[in-house]
Amino acid sequence: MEKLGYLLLAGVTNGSVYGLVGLSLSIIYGSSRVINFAQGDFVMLGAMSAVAFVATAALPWPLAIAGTVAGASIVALALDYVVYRPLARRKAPPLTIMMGTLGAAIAIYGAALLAWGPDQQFVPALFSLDPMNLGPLVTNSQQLAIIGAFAMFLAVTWFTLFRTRLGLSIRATGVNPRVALLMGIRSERIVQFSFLFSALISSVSGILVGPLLGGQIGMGLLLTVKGFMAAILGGLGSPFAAAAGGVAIGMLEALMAGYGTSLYAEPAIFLIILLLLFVRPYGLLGDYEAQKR
Amino acid sequence: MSAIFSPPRQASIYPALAVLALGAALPYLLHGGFQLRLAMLVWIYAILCMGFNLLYGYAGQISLGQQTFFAIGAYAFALLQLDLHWPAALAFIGSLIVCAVVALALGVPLLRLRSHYLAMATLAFALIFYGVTTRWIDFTGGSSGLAAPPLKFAGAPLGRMAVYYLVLAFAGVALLLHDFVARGAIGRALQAIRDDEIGAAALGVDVIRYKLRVFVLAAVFAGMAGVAFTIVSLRVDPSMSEFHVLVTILTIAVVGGLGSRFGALLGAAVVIVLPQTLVRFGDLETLIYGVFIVVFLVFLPNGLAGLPDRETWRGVATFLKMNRGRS
Amino acid sequence: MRRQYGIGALICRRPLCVALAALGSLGATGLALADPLPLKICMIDDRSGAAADTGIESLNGFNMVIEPLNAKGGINGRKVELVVYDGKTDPQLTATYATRCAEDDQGLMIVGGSPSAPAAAMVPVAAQNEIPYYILSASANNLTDDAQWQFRFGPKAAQDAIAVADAFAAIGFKKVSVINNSTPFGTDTSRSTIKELTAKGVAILTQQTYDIAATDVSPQVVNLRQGDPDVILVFPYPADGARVARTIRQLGIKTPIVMPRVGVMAAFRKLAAETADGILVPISVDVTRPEVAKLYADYNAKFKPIAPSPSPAQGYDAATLTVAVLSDALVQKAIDSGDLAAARKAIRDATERLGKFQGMQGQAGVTYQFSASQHHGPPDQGFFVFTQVADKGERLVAPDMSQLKPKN
Repeated sequence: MEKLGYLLLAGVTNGSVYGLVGLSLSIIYGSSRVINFAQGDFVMLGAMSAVAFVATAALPWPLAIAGTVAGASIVALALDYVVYRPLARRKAPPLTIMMGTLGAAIAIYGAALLAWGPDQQFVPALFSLDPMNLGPLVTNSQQLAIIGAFAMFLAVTWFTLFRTRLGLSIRATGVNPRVALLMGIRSERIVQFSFLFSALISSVSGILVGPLLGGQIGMGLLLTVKGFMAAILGGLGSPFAAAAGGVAIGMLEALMAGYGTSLYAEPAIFLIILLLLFVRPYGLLGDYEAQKR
Repeated sequence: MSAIFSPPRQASIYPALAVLALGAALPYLLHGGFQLRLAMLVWIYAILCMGFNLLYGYAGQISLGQQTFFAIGAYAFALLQLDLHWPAALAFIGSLIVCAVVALALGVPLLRLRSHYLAMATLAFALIFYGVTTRWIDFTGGSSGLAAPPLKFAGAPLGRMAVYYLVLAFAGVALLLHDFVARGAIGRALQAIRDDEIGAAALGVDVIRYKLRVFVLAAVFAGMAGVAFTIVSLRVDPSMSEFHVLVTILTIAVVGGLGSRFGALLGAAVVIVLPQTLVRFGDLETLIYGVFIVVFLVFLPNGLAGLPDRETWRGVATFLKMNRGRS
Repeated sequence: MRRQYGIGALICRRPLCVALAALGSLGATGLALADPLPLKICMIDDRSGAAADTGIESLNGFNMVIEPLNAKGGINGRKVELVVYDGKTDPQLTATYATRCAEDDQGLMIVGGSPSAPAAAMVPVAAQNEIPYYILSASANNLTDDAQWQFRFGPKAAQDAIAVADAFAAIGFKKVSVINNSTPFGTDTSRSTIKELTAKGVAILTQQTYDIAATDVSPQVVNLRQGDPDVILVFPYPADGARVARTIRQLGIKTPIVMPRVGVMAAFRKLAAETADGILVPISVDVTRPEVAKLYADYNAKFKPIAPSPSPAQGYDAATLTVAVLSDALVQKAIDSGDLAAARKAIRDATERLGKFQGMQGQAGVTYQFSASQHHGPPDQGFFVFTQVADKGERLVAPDMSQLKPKN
């Protein structure tokens, strides 16, 4: 029974991480139909900024967090102005824009290599890593903070999308950018906002996840892939579907590792996702495009 | 992408033959085995990207699994010789068949998917293959891979020049096949599917069959490239299906020009040779690579092959004009 | 100075280029020229990817021999030139650089190859071009089987495993649980070690694998407890190793932990802090040997402080043998004659002759065993020692092995 408890907790923790990346990805997708290959790099930037601001420059945490978010925002704006806008104005197909984000991801990785070098580095923890009792289970505050942050960002996203005018504009732009323009919604600003919001979520995730996953410039790619899988599994239709997809993947991994084979767990998960796509081509919870047809 | 609206030029086979003639003369223009090796890599990646070009450039189906078929072709070629002791020629045919069968099995359910989902599904396939290959150490040799037996002719291993001409022969077959598909009725049908599936179906194009065929064809191209690579490097390992090979393929496609006849070859020539010139920059290399991709995508959407088109220059002018007014 | 490559070189017509090209092709065919060959050695390894620290540290270790030598005038008045390439853990790129070294750079030998796949990719190149190749830390077992031109300085994965298995057998550990990450390093070394342990009659209770992107590894750690093992073997990267160590201690498991190679790394010890204490690490460098301690002290002073990983020692030993080989009379004769092929062959032969020496790796009194029939340097016995983490991960100490007892 205790083992099941650990499995569920691990599933939720890992799932929160994947869900955060999936959430960020689908926020951008929702307004621009672009899959951002550089998403994981924002998480990496968050973790590495924590290294730079707290470990190297010894700044206090509030300043460090502000600095991290500022840095991530600059990169997000660069992504918008340099990659998204020129290509979107030329009406390039979304897959071309996706390749543009891939180029940007490589460039970000290259810049990070120059800044931090290739080694795995120690990331200072915002919350305590000391063992903490949670009922019969033992965990630590940093881990709980990740789960908490996930829940918080989900709530904030829900509130923004469904309870504010801005959210309405975002959803409108996602459904049909040209009609949204006709309605007086500045689509380009909306997309820019989604890039910034997504970068915020990812970089804060990076700060929280860094002490556990370690700070290494290559960590972005792995998380991007997991985030993709989360978004596809859930369906690109809504950010919450992507988040749910992340949790599902986390749970599946934990249960498989706990009760089945842990060696082939990772490929097995991908196989499950592949098979699922055979049956439900738009993910578990569907997509706008499916409704359009 | 504007090919549908301009009157079709009478495409001929001579450019492809000219390229092959240049390839045959190349060893005499190059100095040393290193440059020859680079040339062989260019041909191999050209074959790989020609397959991708047919699939994405012409038919509009994105597959992030092209590098996986590259590895499958190579592993099949090596394993058929090592484990089943087949002769090399038979193993070559066998590996192409393996690629075709896997592509068929994958394609039938997958080609119903659209754009991003197809991309992610093929990516999942790629990750499954990589994951299994690195873990099933008894069968695949794990991450350090397998040594492939060198090709022998009349008992003696093939020399470097002979290997080059063999690779060139593969490239020749691929180039002619690619050319035949691209400039013929099949190519127009694929472009119709890319631009509007429903419209194409209304015009009588059998969308599903064409999609499946081009998917299998792209896989066979990749398998051929994989066999050629194995002959050159004498090793197969899971890194052949890793992400950076995919990045190279996408870069070549973008730089060379999607949906063009010689884009894959042009792109391969630039992308394979360029890192060798970037070596002096050391740590800056990755950064430059990424910037390169973005610059090409934004300013040269039709790639190098699109340079002669007036469309490109008009596009650049429009871009500059459009962005001067805005802040 | 490297020449221009790329398309420009193909159409270069200036007289200087033609002359250089002619000289180059003459050199490639091995015709005897009047001038002796430059002492060029190519260092090809990962310097920016996943295995960058082994590449950088081994290069630094190599330079700790070469730079003072060059300052004193080199070998017979000629300085040793190093041509450095970054293989980025990419086998294709690494093999291409190796070909470039052999053909264009006219290198005398290649040194490098820390991860196994790139090292393996250079083996056929070394064989085709008949150029000697010193492998550093690549651990795949079969790299030096039936070796013609390659020699290896780092231990095989099987030897790491043998050291652990011998130690466990001596202590009397009978039940072992294994946990590794899903990277090739984790799965390959885990597998080798399990094979050796099983051969010595030790029971493997379970083998758990986790993904390096998994933030919470409790499912796998919970499984480690089953059967009540005497010792837990961990094969991670630094960050996930810290996670595993923390989770193991968090769950109240007090079983001794052995963590080969990674346990000494700074990133691991900092991330794991007090949970790293007591972890045993088998490594191939014995810092209780005075000359080894001095090597690391000098390294820390000159470059940045590192934990005693084997890479600098391997680089240092490779350089020591290189200098001995290049100074050898027969090799000098071939170099002076300007015959590249003969020089490379002489270097290969000299390595086989001069290859039994005590380097920085291994216990005191244990030597490398290179010979005509043996191209793998480290011997099976006496090459590894155990070290232990202490003081909240700050220090490494020699452990008191008598403290370890099996559970029964």
